[in-house]
Amino acid sequence: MPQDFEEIYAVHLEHVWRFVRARVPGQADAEDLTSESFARALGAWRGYDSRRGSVRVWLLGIARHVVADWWRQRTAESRLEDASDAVVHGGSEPEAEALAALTMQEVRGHLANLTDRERDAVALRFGAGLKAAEVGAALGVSETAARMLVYRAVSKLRSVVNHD
Amino acid sequence: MTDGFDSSEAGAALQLDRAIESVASGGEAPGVDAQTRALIQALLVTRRTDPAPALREGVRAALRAAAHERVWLPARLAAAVLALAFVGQGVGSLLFGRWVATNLHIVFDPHLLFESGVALLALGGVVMAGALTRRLVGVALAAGAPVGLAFAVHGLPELAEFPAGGALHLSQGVAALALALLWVRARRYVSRRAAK
Repeated sequence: MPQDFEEIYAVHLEHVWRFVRARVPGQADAEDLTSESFARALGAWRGYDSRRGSVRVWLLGIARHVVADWWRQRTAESRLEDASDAVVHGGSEPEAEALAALTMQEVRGHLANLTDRERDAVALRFGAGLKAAEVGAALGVSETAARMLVYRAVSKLRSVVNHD
Repeated sequence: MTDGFDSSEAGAALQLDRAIESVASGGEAPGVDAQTRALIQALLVTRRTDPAPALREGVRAALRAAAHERVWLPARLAAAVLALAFVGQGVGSLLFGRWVATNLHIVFDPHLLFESGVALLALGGVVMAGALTRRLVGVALAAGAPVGLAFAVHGLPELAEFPAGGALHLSQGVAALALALLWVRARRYVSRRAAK
């Protein structure tokens, strides 16, 4: 493994992990897909061009494809089943975290109502913590379009949560 | 800039974006209602999710395995070329023996050409196995490289009287030499990594 890639992996593991975790219901699957994302990135590392965007956005773009491939192999039915089994770990304030985690589980169940692009935008903005401009760069759209994707996704989620 | 979006919707999106940033940094959510704020908080849970310590080692192992595979690729490619050259010669001996003998100005011996053709196909198969399976690259090297080099040395003079045959032997020699050098390079890389 090239030395520079080792550093990149060390710095960006958490961002990629959080994005994948936000897009995939199971913890074990998220771990596998995170590993797969970095393995693919290593293969493509020589082709990375810093003029075309930051390493973080590039890595998240690869992770997005890995997650998309994974989802393609699953039916919409199994998506919902997996979502109901999801468990969220981590955090620093136990009570608030437990409450928020419960809500996140509920929200996960509703993510199936979003388009793939909206789910990606939500995972990049909320999970990986990218700014709207970076979400746009990762998805190949403008900053405004990225904000709109997140806005529409949140509006849809709000409406389905309300409906319940 | 609204990029062609409805300006009121773009304004609401901008407001939501600011609210996300504010809630993420532990602040209030200006301009959004309590329900949207709760939704933002729920969605932000993933951002506070730390990867399990085992994941770091898992990714490192996956990267090591991927790097290991990649470092052997050039040697495997050379093995594939060498295998195809052997198979080509084997097929030539089996199907076009008379043409080969005529061009080399030797007596056509079907028995000899049949047996050498079968042997070359078998050798090509062994070398191709090394091209397809990383663990067998060493076997491909041991079986194929000496034969490839020997054919090249022995067959080079053919270039003048039978260019097709000479070129085939030359390609076998080049592929055999490349396989040997690339195998050594990959071995050294792997040993260096293991020492670290």
